[in-house]
Amino acid sequence: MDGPILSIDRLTQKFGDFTAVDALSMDVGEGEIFGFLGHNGAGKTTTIQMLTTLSRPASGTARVQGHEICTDPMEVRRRIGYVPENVRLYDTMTARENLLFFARLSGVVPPVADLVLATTVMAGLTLRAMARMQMTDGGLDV
Amino acid sequence: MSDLAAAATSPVRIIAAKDIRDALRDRFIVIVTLFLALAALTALVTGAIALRTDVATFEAAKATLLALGKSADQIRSPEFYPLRLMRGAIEQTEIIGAAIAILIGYRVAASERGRQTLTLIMTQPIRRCQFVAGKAAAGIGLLAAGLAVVLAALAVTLHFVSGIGLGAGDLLRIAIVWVAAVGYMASFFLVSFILSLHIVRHQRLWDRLRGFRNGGFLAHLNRQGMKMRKKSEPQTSTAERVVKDIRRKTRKQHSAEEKIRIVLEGLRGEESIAALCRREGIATSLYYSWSKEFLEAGKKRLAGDTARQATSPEVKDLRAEAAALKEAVADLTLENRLLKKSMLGDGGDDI
Repeated sequence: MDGPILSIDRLTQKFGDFTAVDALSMDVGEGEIFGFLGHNGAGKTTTIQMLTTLSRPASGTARVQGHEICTDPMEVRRRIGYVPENVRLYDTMTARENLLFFARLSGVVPPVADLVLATTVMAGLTLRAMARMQMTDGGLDV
Repeated sequence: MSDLAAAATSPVRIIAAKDIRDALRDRFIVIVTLFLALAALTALVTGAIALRTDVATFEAAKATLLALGKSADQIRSPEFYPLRLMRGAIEQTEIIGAAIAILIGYRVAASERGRQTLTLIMTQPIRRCQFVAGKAAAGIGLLAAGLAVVLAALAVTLHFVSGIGLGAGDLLRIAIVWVAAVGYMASFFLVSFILSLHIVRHQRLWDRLRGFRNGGFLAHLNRQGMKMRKKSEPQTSTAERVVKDIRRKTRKQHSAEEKIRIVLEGLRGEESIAALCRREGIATSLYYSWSKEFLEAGKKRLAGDTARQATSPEVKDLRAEAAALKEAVADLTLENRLLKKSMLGDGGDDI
């Protein structure tokens, strides 16, 4: 695919009178590993929330693989993988069931169970995946 | 076309299946249904007792009238419709069912709270309405199933208690009641669920309204809750930190000699440890940690000394000397014996 994988054009977000993100414009190329740094309250999370279609920008726009985040959010979601900070998966299900649930939701084509098994093996999770899981800050406890 | 329909309903099904499995797994729905059944059966039994009283009153009145030579047509006979008996039970079911529906609605929304799973789900290629539909399908499905069980139990009980068989018409009426009750409970469920979900998603607004912006007791419900709580910790505990700083800076530093003195005084046992600590201005736990360290260190040192002594060159020399002397003694003993033998000449050992 030609052009940047992510293209942000004067993206702006406001909360009341407060401007959290002010006309941010940038491009990220395909295969690029991009670190998005900033001090507390710089608007990193706000930007990411707009890019992951969790919130609508006040003005401006962005394209993920050519898909508009405002007009085409479903196609954007199909193309992204987002792991937010402090995520705690469902502790009522095993790790494997959590993976199955999210894999199915994300539209992974069957056989989902085999793919999940392959992933757990790759991550060395097989034994742990059997037990009910408990996520602690940024880590996995079983 | 069917593929398209499957693609549209698939997320709804996945989300609903998860919630139903959750509810079955922790037996929440079983407990709730049992509770509902208990309430309904209680109402049914009280209804049956009331009916029996009605019948007894009617029979007594009829007997009196007949005894007086009057016609019994003047008084109305109580109705014996079996479903009439069930009315109280159904009212009970609906009142408690509404409360349970609110509970389930809240629970279904709360299962996504404070764990960022809503963020994970909402960045998947599913629509918001599909998510809500999945949750609602699970909640209403559970309610409908629970209610069906309760109504079935009521019908069976009624059949045996009243002795009057339920006809097809009665069963149809029960089915209609079931549909109506599910609709009634579903409305409560939906209100509770959507409100709870709304609160989860707009916690920031709530916080502002309640003046809890920097992490009130509801902050953990927020999508940003975890983060906000983390940030707010140092802020809210500023006073505590100042106190801690002061304590740290004004803390008395005890020299090793002082520590030994205090520990020895404690070991002497002339006064209680508590009194000693009070006098010295230290916590008893600190005394015990010193005492432990003191004894441990002493033990270690002493054990080390014996080990060192045992391997010192002097000891080695002495050991060698002792071994040599032992050998000499052995030699002399042997020699002595040989001499004795030769003197006696009989080689016997019996002297």
